[in-house]
Amino acid sequence: MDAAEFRTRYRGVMARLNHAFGVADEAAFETLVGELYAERDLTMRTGIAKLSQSLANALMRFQLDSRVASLAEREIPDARLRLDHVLKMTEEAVHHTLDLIEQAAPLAEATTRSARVLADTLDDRSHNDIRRFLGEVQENAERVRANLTEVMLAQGFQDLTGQILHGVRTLIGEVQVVLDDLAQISGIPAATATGQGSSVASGPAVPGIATGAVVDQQDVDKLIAGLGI
Amino acid sequence: MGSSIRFMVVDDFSTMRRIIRNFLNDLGYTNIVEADDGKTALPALKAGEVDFLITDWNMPGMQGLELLRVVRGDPGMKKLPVLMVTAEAKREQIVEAAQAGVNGYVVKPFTAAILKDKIDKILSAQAAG
Repeated sequence: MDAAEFRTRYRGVMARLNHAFGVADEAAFETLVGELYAERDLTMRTGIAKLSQSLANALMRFQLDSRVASLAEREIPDARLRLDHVLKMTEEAVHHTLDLIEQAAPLAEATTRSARVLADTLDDRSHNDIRRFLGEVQENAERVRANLTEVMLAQGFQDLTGQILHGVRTLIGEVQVVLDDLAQISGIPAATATGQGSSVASGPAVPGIATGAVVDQQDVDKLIAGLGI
Repeated sequence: MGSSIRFMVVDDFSTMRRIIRNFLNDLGYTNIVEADDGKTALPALKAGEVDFLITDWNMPGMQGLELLRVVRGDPGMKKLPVLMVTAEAKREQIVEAAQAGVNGYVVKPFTAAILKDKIDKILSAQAAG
């Protein structure tokens, strides 16, 4: 409190204390000292209230720190595994697509060739409908062949998305190092898992993370059959 | 078609190497070797087994730009045509590659027409030079 506040607060009691002291009124003097103690008590209680508020804040912070531990120990490494899985899945899908393109392209080329050879053997004066049909076959097969090339080049997306994912993966790794340090410095115990109900949709199963996840359609069929469906 | 030209495709992504290889096959070039970074590419390049180099930029190990500088700094390889096919698309990067002596620069994702055009241009410039 400032000087003015201090004077206002104690002026009355001081005057009365002085008076009781001057006239040697011991009883009045004792009562006034009691009042002063009560005043002091109130200040102390205010202090305790402030202290308990700080304690509550500290406890709240501790919960946040537990979240840090949970991130460092489980969620961040899981996020990296998820990204690795996405990288692997897209790479496999692209190779599979390229396999199919490599198989289909020669078929389209052979169809174009055969249609041309056959059309050449036909008499110009007859088989108009067949020649028209063979012309269409050539044209369509050529278009299919050209589209296969474009589909193949479009698979280049995996290179681009893969580079971006690699970048995010590196970033996550750096965040994990920081979080590990934080958790270690504050000596926080490992967080207890926040239970997630099995009915909550969590997206595709990621190997190394998903527990109790089915593996393939056969497993699904077996599981479904086992449930009597 | 100039099917006797020996190509090398350098990219750390196996999918991209396969795409470029297939595309070269479509153009009639069947003599193709692959490498996944500059370091693994160098032995065949130094041995003179390659006539045309197609390289990515961003790779672990030796990057494409460094590979290009090594190639341009080596008396035996310095005239090798180099086409960079990369996702690096910043102006200053393209300038840097040009200053290092690249013959062509294709930004991913690319179309069949663009890739064919760059390869043809480099080959015809080489034939004229």
